[in-house]
Amino acid sequence: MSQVGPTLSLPVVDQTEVHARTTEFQIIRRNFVKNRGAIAGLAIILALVFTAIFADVLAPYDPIEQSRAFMEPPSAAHLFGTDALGRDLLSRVIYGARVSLAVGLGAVLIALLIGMFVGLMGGYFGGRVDAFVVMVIDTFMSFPGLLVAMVIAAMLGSSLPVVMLAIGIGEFTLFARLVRSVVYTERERDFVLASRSLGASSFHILITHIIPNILPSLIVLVTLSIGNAILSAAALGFLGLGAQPPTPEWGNLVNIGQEYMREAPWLVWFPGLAIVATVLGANMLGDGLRDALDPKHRR
Amino acid sequence: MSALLDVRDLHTRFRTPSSVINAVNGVSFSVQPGETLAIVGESGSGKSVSMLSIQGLLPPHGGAVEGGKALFQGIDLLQLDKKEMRKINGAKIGMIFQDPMSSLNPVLTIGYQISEALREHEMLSRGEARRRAIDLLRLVGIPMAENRLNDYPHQFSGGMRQRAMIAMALSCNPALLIADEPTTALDVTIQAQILRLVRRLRAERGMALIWITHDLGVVSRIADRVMVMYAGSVVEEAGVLDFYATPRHPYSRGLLSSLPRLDDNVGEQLRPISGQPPDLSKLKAGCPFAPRCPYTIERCVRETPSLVPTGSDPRARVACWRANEIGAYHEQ
Repeated sequence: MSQVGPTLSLPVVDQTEVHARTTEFQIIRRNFVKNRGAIAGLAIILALVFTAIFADVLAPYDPIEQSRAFMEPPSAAHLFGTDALGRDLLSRVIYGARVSLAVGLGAVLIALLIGMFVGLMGGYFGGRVDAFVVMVIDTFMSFPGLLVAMVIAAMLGSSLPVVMLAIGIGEFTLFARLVRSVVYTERERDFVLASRSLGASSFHILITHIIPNILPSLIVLVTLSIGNAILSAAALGFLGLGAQPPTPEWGNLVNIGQEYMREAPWLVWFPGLAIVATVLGANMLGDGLRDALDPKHRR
Repeated sequence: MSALLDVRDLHTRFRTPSSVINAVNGVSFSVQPGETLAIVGESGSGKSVSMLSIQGLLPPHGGAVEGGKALFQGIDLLQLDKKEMRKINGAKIGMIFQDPMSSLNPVLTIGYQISEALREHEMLSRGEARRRAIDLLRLVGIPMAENRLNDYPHQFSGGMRQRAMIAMALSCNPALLIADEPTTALDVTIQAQILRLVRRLRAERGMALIWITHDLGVVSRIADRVMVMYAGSVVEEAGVLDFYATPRHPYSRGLLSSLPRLDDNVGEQLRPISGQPPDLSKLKAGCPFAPRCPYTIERCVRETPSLVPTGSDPRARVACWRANEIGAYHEQ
């Protein structure tokens, strides 16, 4: 309790009360709030989520309604300008948040679940289980994630859940490898032996002792992967396997805007900025969370 | 009186692709209820591996028990499956480790870790487990226990961490506590506190204690009996007073004479045991200590001495061909 440190005359009883009142959650919150980057990241992400949820209210125009104002530069009537079919770009970017955020989060969640399961099994049980896990990871890694996603999307038809699943499967090797390597070192730690000496089962040790120790690394990887997943979704859309026009999706918007880079560069800028903001916000939030959640990083 | 723990002819080997390491070679010993046995030996003598073997805690790949029995309250621990063993570990056998910092999970609170075994073995609710954890922290002498429950290991000092480890090991009131060099990582004053604490708890709870160490100074302050291990075998066992007064095995003699003593003459040199312990993957016939022993005769190199009773104490044993000869010589 550094606040009470300098006043030496403070009675011991007071110190106890300070101690008793500080709960775990308060410590985490204090550490998080102190970190300006984390707060900025949280603000960006909250704003984006808010935009996605209230797209109906926020968007000034219907995102798929066409008009005669083709490729107009940003103006008071169309803040982000309009595209080749006369659609309001601001409205399309706002609606695009729904699709892009959903795909990004969904895909990463799927990748995380598969990767964690596979990585935990291999890292903790070792031996033959691990040999098999490594084989599976290597097999998937020998194809680019996007190619795997394409095959899956082509097989199952293109809809949003399929895109999430396809990208998730394409990216799970990152999570599996990270989890496996961390578990590999964590399971040799003395506290795992100590827990076993108290009669804990493998499952219990995995859940209560090993997973909390890999969370910090996972949080960082999740935030990094969200941006990646959004970009993969865009690429799938470009190849005709993702969100289909006229559904607005950020990656889609960038890809279409690319054709008019010289005449109407704003068509790439604004959706591109939205992607950058998401990735940046998620990363800053992730860094802040890692520092606040991990007792080892405190003080 | 039947023994609480009776280990017979325990063999543990580690297999690597290129060699087989004979870590424990036919170890036998017993511990009576309430008794304290100190197991002494240098690094690699098989002290810790013997304990891990008994508890089924050997690393899953590599080490394996390849023979013997370990009867605990009449049940052979080596025959139990994982699930049955888990019911004994923590509940009936507690263990404390050398380095309390690395033996506590850095990301979980002390209170959580102490109550873990209680929730696992005694199915206590969170609230009850919490109250018991507070009692346990008080028992091991941590002030303001209810406030320290939510602390993380890094907020504890070295001595407090070891106290917390002891609290964890004692949480389910085990009949046997195994302490694997619990004071090695602590400084001398804290060491003394921990020794006092364990002695007090042992007396209060009547539990048996196996204390693994290579510090003979600690042994004299806690043990009833001493067992000396060398190269994976027991070379001597004796009552603690008897052991310090008349060590029978040349290795025990060597250990004791390499210690500094208050009644040594100023300027007198300590006498270390020369040479190195043998490579456990290349053990040959004959006494494993023979290459370093000052009393070696031809028979020592040819035949492995077996552990035989010696002296008036029925449980005292020594594995040396010349134990009687050497004993008689030194008594003159």
